[in-house]
Amino acid sequence: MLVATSVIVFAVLRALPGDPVLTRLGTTQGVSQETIDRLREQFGLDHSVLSQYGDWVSGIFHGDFGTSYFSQYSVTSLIGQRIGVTLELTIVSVALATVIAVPVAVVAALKPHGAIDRVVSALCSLGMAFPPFVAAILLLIVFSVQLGWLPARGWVPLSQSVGQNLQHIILPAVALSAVASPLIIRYLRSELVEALASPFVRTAEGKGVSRAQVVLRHALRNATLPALTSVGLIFGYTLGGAVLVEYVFGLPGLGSLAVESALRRDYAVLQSVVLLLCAGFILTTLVVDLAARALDPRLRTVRDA
Amino acid sequence: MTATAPPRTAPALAVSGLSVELERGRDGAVPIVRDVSFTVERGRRMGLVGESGSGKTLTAMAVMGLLKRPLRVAGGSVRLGETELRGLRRRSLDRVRGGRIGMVYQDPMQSLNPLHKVGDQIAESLRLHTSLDRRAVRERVVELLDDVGIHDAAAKARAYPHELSGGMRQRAMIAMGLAGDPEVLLCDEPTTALDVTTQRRIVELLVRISQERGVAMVMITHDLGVAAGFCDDVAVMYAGRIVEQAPVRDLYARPAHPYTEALLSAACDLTLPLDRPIPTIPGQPPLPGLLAGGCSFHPRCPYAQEACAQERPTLDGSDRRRVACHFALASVEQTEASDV
Amino acid sequence: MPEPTTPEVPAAGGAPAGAATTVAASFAGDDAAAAAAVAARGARRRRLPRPTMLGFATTVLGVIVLLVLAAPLFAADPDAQDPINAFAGSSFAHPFGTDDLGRDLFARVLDGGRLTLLIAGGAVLVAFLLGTLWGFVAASRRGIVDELLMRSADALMAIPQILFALVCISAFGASPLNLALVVGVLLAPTTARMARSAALQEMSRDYYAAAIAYGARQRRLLVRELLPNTTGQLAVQAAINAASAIILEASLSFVGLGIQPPDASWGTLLKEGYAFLYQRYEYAVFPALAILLTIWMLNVVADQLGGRPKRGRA
Repeated sequence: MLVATSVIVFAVLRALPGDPVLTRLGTTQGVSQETIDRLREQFGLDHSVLSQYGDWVSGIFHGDFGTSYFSQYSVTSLIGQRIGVTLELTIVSVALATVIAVPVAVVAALKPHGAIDRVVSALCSLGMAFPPFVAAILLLIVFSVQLGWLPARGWVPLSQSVGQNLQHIILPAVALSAVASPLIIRYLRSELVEALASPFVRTAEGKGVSRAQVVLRHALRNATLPALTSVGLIFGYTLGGAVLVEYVFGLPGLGSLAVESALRRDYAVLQSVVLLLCAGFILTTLVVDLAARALDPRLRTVRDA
Repeated sequence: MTATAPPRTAPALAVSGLSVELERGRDGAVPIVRDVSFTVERGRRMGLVGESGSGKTLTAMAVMGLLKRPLRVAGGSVRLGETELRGLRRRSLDRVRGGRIGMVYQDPMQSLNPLHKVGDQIAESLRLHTSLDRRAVRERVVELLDDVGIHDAAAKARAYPHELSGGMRQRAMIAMGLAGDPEVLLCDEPTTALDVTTQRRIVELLVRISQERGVAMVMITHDLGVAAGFCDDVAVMYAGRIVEQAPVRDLYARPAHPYTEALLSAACDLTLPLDRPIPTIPGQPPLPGLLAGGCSFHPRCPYAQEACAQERPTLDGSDRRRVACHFALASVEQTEASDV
Repeated sequence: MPEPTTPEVPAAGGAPAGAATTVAASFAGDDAAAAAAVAARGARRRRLPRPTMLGFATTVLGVIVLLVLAAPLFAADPDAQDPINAFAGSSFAHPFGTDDLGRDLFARVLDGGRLTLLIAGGAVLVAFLLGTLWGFVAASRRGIVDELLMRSADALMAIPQILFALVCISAFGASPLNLALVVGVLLAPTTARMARSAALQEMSRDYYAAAIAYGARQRRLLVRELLPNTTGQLAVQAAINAASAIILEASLSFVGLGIQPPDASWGTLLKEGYAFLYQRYEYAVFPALAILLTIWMLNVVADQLGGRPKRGRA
C-alpha cells in the first residue's frame, strides 16, 4: 500500500514540468548552463527517473530522505524539526474531539429522535460543513483579532513553556476537533442506538441493571468497537485538516512544511512529507484495526466470525 | 432469600387484563396484545402457545417491564406475589427484575453480551440481588453453571458466549435467570434453536428446577410437543388474545377451540402415513390492526358461522379451563379430573 | 420523494416486513415481525418532514447558483477600484463593505463564486465519469481486474486529499481547468468505490440477470441497466463530491496554489481577507460564510437523499 502510494507521489512530481533547479535560482539570467548542470547533478536530477526513485527509496530505508532543493538542509532534519508540532496537534485534536463527542453521543442516543438528538444532529450537520481551515480563520477572528485572548500565530514548543504551548495549540486544536467531533458523534450515536435496542441490553435490563450501568457497561462498550473502525478515517481527516490549519496559525509543522515546499517546488521535501503523513495515516488505521481486534473477544479466538 | 415468603393465597404470578399496543405517532396506537389474563402458582408450569406473531413474547416482555418504544403496555395488571409490577418506578423495578422474577430469553447468542464473559454476566445478577462478597459470587457462579448441567463449570465461566455451543449458551442463560433465586421464571422459546436431544435435556432441567425450588414457570413456545412435556397448564394465543386455556391433558385430548384443534392436527404427527400431506391451517395469521370483526380466527375457521363474524366470543369457563368460541368443540364445564 | 400513504393495511402476506424498524424487530424476535410491519407504516408518516428539508436545501443551493450566475445583472462591478473607500463598512451601496482597493465585496464574493462553482462542477463531472467507469468495470469484471482497480483506488485514498492536491497542483500548475481536473481525479477513487458497491448490489437483482439472459452486451448492461438504477447513490456521491471540491479549491487558492489573481474565487478572497484580518475581518468572514453555507446545504442534500457513505477526507 505504502509502496503504491510512494510510486504515485513520486511519479506525479517527476513526470511533470516545472524544473526545481530553475525555480530555486529564480532566474536563468546570468547563470551559466554549467551551474545549472552542476546543481542538477548535485541533486541527482540528471539520473533517470527510475534511478531517482530508487535512490529516494533506498535513502528512506537508511533514514535519509535526501536534501532539500531549496535550502541546503537535509530533508530528514527539516522533518525532524517539524514532526513534533504536527504530532502534538493531531493527538490533542483527536483527544479533544473524543472528549467532546462521547458524552454528547451518549446523551443523544438515550432518546433517539428526541429533542436533544435532533439539536445534536443539526449541530453535527453544521459542524461537518466547516472546512477546518475556515473554522480556523473564524476562530482566529473571534479569539485573537476581536477578543485578543490568544496569540494569533506562532509556536512555543512544549519543552520551553507548557502554558504558552497550550495557548498556541488551543485554537488550532479546537478548529480541528470542531470538524472531527461531529464525525465521531455520528458514528458513535448510531452504534449506540443500535446497541441500546439490542437483545443483550434487554437481557441486562431484565437482570435489574440500572439505567446508567446498562449504558456504560453494556451499550457503550459494545458500541465503541464498531465506532473504533472510524477512528482511522477521523485521523486522516484531522491530518488533512492539520495541513492548512498549521498554515493559518503559522505553526511550524509538517503541514505548513508541505505547503511551503509545494510553493517552492521543493519536491525533495514535498514527496517525503507527503509519504510520511500517508505512512502515519496508514499506520494509524492499522493500529486501530489491531486494537479493535484485541478488544473484541470474538475476533481474538476465531479467525472468521 | 426474600425477607417474607408470599402468603399461600397469592399466586406466584397473576397477570390480568394485560394489553400491549404499538404507538403510531399521531395516529394513535395499534393493539397487539389484548386483555391477557393468567395465573401461575408456585411450582407450577404454564405454557403460552401460539404461532409466530401471536403476542407470546410481547406478553412476557410486558410482564418484565421490558417493552420499548414504539411498544408499550396499554393496561392491565401484573402481580408478582403481593407486588404490583405495573407502574413501579425504574429503581424499584430493577430490584425485582433479575431477583424475584427472572427470564430466559430466546436466541442466547444475541441475548448474551458478546463482550462479557459468561461468568461475569451471571455474576452481575448476583451482585445486584444478593449480598455475597466477591469470592462467594465467583463460587456461586460456578455452582449455578454446574446446576444447569455444564461440565467443567469453572472454565466455562471464563469463556465468552461465542466460545460455547448452542446448548451450553442456553444453559448459561438459564443459570443467569436463576441467579437471583426467582419466584417466577419466564422462558421464551428456550429450546427452539437446539437439536432434539438437547431440547429434551433442557426441558427436563427446567422441570427439575421448578419442582426442586418451587419456581413458577411460564414457558413460551410454538412447539406443542415441548409444551406437552413441560407444562401443567397451557394457554393458546391467537392474534394477541388467549383463545383457550386448559390443563395440558384436557387440551390435547379434547381441544375446545377450533384453532387449538387445527394447531394440534398441524403439529407433525409421525404416525401419519408419509404419502399423506401434512395438515396445515389454511390462510395466514392476521396482522395486528387488520383484525376481522367478531372472532379473529373466523376467516380461517372451518366451523365459522355468521355469528362468528358479528360478535367476538368472550373467554368463558372455569378457572381450570376457559375457551373463547361461540361453538366450542368441547364443553369446558365438565372436565376430566386431571392431576395437580 | 413523498411516499404514497398506504391505506390502513397492505394485503396480508404482502406486508413490508423487510422495512421493519430495528427497535421493534430486534425487540421481540419473530414474534413481532407483524408488529414491525405496522411500525414501518407508522414510521413512514413520521418521516414526512424530511423531504421538506431536502427541498429547503436544494432551494438555497439554487438561489446561490442563481445569484452567482446573475451577479453581473445587479451587483456592482467586482473589479472597479475606489481606493478612497477602501475597507468601508457595510452600506446600502456595498452590502458587504469594500476590500483593500475599495472594490465592492458583495460583488467580489458573487464573482468569486462563479469560478469556485465552475471548478466544483467540472470536478464533479470528472469524478463522475472516471469514478463510475472505474467502479462499474471493477464490478462487472470481478477477479483480478477488480482487485487491481480497487487496490489502486485504496492506495489513492490513503493520501489525504489536500496533500495529493498540493503535489499535483505544484506539478501541473494551477489553471482553473487543471484545478477541476486534478480535484476531479482526486475524488474519483471514492466515487469508484461507491459506484462499485452500488453496481454489485444492482447486479444481484433479477432484472440484471434477465438482461444478461436476454443477451445484452457489456456496454449496454453498464449504460442502460446499471447507470439508471444507481442514479440515487450517484447523486448522493455527487453532492458529497461537490462539497469536497469546494473545500479543495478553497484550500489550494487560500495557500496561493490555486486560482491566481486577478482571477478571484472564494479561496483567493479568503486568502486576501486573511491578510487583512486586523484591518477589516469581515473581508474574510463573507467568503467563509459563502463556503460554509454552500457546503452545509450540499451535506444536507446528501444526507437527505440517502444514507451517507463515508465522507472523503479534505
